[in-house]
Amino acid sequence: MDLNYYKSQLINHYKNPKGQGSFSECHRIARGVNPLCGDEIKVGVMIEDSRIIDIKFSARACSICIASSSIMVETLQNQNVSVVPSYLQAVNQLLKGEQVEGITGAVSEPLGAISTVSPNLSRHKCVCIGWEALSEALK
Amino acid sequence: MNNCSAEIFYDNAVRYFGYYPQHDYHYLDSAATTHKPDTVIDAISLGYRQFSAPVHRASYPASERASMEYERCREKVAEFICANSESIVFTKSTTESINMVAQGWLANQLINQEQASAQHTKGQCIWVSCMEHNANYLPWLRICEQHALTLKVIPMDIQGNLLWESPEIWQSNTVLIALSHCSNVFGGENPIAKVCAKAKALGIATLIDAAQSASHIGLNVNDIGCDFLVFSAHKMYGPEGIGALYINKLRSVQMQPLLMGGGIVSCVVNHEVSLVPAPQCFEAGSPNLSGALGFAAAVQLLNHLGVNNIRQYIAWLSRQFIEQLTQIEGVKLLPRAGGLSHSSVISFIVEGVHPHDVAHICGQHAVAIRAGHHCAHLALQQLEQTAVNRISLGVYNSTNDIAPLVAAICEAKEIFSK
Repeated sequence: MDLNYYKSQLINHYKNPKGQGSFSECHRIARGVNPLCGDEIKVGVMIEDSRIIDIKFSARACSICIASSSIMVETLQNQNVSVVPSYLQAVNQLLKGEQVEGITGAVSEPLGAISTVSPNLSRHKCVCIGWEALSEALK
Repeated sequence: MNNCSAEIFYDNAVRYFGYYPQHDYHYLDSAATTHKPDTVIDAISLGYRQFSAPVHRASYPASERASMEYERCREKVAEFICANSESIVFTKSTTESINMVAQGWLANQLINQEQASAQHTKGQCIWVSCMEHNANYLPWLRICEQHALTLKVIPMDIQGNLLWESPEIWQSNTVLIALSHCSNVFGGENPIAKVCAKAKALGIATLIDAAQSASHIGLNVNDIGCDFLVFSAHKMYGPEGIGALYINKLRSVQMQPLLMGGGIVSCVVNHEVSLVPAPQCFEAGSPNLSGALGFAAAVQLLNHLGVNNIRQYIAWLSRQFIEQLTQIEGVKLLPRAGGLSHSSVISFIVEGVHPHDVAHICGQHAVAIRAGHHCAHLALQQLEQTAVNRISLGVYNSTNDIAPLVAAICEAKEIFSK
């Protein structure tokens, strides 16, 4: 039975999400939708000198979407905006079951937890919509 | 139906799905698509092996046979809803059938009105119910945008009763009521015959979406009194890619083909087109013979099992599911359309667990259920939800499917309660 991700760090992130909250006027905001189930997420990001100084999200979404968005917040806080595409690519690689290394060294443990969703194709979008909304907000 | 007769019915019905028990999983998603009985698979296979040839195109024997078989299928599908075969158009799906009515009949009517009176159609209304699948919502929304009509929504009460008697619906500016027989979210049954009778008396056209009812409720278009009735083979144990559109005589002459192409014209001279009579004039392109063969075989099975017997079995089985689900703390069942205590479709929410997570954990327990909006945004808006869980029943389901479902829901609750 493939319920690994419900036992992984993802479930901890779902129960104690980082970055879930309201936005200020300084946040650049974008929306993500999962057409399969109608889940919605809004991601807001604050940038200072090309550095991400704050990410917030609000979602009506499943545990995987919320957990993945929480991991995104933890991973990208204080990072330079230029690394965001690399991390989005890493997420997609993890979902494909590929090994990921060398973004800023080894993939951090919380990001690596995303790989537990890899066998479940219908949940990949749940992982990605927060990340995709962030990328949209940075455009 | 009592427990003993339910068991006899199930044992008889499941025999027709010889491969199904070997799958070793509990399929509770028949509202999306049903499994196909061996008789349907065999009918399609036989057609390909014995008379694979174009329909209504050639005079050699295999083609003559193909044409004859295709029309025989049309007759069977027509008989199934007590219609004559001239009133049945084969389409690719319920969705296509509704779009054909929207663009081929209603748009045509509106254009004729505009030309005749030089007046705009603004102020006229189309009514749909809050329970509609997007297939019976978005085509009408588009028509309203194209012709400046207003799309209005018939609400329901908290018991699931459609508030169809509201005087606002029955005004002279209503041109069409499009209504599902059984909702794909709420299940149950809407009072289509009453709605159609009142509409007919007032000259309002009606379209009934029977996609969710054709598998287990007897349909008689004469009793229903609708102008249009639509359904799909794959939700009634037939193949994907074929559906039926019933058009009554009055509306048939008012309708134009949605698609133009081969097989629908008697002659074309100097760009002047003469169409062949209905229903062929609405079936441009090569007819779907294998689909029709599967469709007719599915209808034959429903007739053989007895649609009324199926209805009673599904009602009995759904009550068993409802009884068990209501005993799980935190499981909230949605109402059934018409306030019924039984339904082929049962939707619910598990408090504290997102529907997508519930469905996933059920999947890992070999229980196939659905989560999401079920392409019914109007219904989900009424519920103020973005997603709900849904189980839906077929004749191959039994009480053996209940315990694994309950166990999976309980595990989902446990995972998310820690």
